[in-house]
Amino acid sequence: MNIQRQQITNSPPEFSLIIDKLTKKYDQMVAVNDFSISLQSGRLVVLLGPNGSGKSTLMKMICGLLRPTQGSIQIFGEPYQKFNPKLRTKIGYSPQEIMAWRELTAIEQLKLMTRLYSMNATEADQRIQTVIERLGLNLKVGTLAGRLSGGMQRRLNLALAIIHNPSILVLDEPFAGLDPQGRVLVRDYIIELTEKEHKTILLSTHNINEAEEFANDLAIMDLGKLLTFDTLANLKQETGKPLMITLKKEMTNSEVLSDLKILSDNIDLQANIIKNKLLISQSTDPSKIAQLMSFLAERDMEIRQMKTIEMTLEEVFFSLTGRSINE
Amino acid sequence: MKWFFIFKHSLYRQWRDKLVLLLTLLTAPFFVLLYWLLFGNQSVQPMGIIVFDSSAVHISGGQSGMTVRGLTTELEDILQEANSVKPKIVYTQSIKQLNHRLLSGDFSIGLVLMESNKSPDSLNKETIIEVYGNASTFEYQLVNLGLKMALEKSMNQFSGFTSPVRIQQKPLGLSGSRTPFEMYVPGLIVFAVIMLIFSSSMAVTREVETGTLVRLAMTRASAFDIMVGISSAQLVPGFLSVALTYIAAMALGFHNAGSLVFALVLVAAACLSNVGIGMIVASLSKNLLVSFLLSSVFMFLLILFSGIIFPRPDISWISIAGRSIGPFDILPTTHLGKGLEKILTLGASLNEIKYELSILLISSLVFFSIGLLIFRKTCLSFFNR
Repeated sequence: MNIQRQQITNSPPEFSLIIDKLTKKYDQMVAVNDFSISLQSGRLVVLLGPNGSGKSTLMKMICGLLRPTQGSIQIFGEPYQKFNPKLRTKIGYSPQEIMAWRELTAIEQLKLMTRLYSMNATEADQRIQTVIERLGLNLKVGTLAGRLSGGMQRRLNLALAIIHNPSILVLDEPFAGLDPQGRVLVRDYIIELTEKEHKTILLSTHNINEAEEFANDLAIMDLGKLLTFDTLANLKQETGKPLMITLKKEMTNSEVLSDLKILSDNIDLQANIIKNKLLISQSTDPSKIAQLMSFLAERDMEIRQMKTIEMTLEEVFFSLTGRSINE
Repeated sequence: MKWFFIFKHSLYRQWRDKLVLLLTLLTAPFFVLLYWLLFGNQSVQPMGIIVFDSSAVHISGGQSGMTVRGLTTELEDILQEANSVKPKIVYTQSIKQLNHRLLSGDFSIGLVLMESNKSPDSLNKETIIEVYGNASTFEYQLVNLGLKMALEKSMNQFSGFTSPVRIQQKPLGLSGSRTPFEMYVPGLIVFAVIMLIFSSSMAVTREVETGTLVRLAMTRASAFDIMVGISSAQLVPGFLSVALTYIAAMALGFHNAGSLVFALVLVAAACLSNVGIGMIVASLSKNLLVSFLLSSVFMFLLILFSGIIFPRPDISWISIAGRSIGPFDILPTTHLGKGLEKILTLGASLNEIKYELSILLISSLVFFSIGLLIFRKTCLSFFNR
């Protein structure tokens, strides 16, 4: 596991966002635990994790919406602790929920945002034009937000986050609630923002396909912790080609599952179970695999198939967390 | 100028939310209409007085000339002059019956005339008039006063004495000719101002609930810009509501003894302080329901203790520059009520309401500052500002 970290004191300038040991506690519950990550300009980082893993909390802390219990955030080398109007213009945040004024039209809301970000009138008009065109809001700019469809409201939500042309974009589940056409439009625009405009984008999702589709880097988190941060190719390489044992029947007997866990612990076997599949690490000693086979045979667990596999992202996630992302 | 953009867009939103706008603008004028319908053209209910008449009783120690009926006739005239309506006076033959009819609510005042037995000499007998009734009511006090006047008048007539002093009433402004409806109008204007607490607190709470406050706070706008922008937009419908209340009252027969401009200056200052209270409420509210309930608490506080609708005694804690300061002086509506009464009814000038105006301006500043402080501490705490 290669978690990319940089010392705050020696932060190189190419990192637009540096998060160091960020922790958020609510009474006894730790929502984000000692999270450190450094993001480069022009990279699209997908933050992958199941519901409740702490993604939204982390994003809110990055945007200054939540005060961290511990840790620090740097934006372009500057600490982001006190209100700093200059730094504020560098971050754009699109939350999971729609945050728009129902009684204002799309154009009115975008204009308001440009005024509040101190953009001059010409610059603002050009930017509004670009954003509404790129997000396909042209025909709906004069409609009150409350009367827009759910998908259009989501596009507006994103437009409001990027209207001031920030260098860092924090997008919390930006594809949720979008129709297929809108999804493609938003996805293409996000990719364009990274590739052509060199924005740093941190995008959260619990959709494996989305993450696999366009992430430059993947940050996988679970239970508030960053488990890994790397490119998809590197992650797959690191996890290697594990052995997949497919059983004829699903392993539902809790006694068998418990025995298997004891066995795994005793012989130090790295095995993960999803329904009727057992995933064994590539580096496992053959003698241990033999012990596993006997264990299964003793319990009449018939094997349908046994093969080494190229891991999908879902399987990478599974091998890291021991559970499915949709659990 | 960022506050101005927030202000402008808040106004757009209010304009488009027609139901809320109509409720904000028309609630107080509606009550003016309601009061007018109820009190404007209705004659005042006559006061009911029941008298235990012992025909043997002659006031002034049994001497002939001055009777119970003579006294009650005098009282009737005095009360009619004070109350514009002739009281209903009925005689009964027993104290038991008098008590029963008082308690059952048929009459509000009972008079019993009796002779004391302190002296066997009939010439020195003393006549006692007992006044029965609810001593906490205005009617009871009025009848007592009226009785004294009637008695004095009767005694003077009986003895032939002519008083060298004559009392002449000189009501200030229009206070002498106020109808029951007109007496309620200043209170209803204050009510319109109180309603601002609801609209301003709920407007801010709605921004919190919908998350749009986060949108605003993530921009370069400061907490001050946000709060001033949102709250000043509440002043517009609030002020319009007051204006409509006044126009409605004028159209229905209300007469203003003073300057409308002075009244509006006073109202503007009170609007500011009530918006400040609204901000405090919003800062303490997590959602619209809490905001509504908290606003209601403040509304009751202002209505019950500022003396605009419900009379209350003045309490004095300290005296500064010859003015008594008490707990009710904290409430902006206390001063608005007094100031409006002075202008609208008594015809006071700006110089004569400078105390109320100063207090209102100070309270605006205080409430608004407290609101801003709590707002930053609560609603914008996450911004590390």
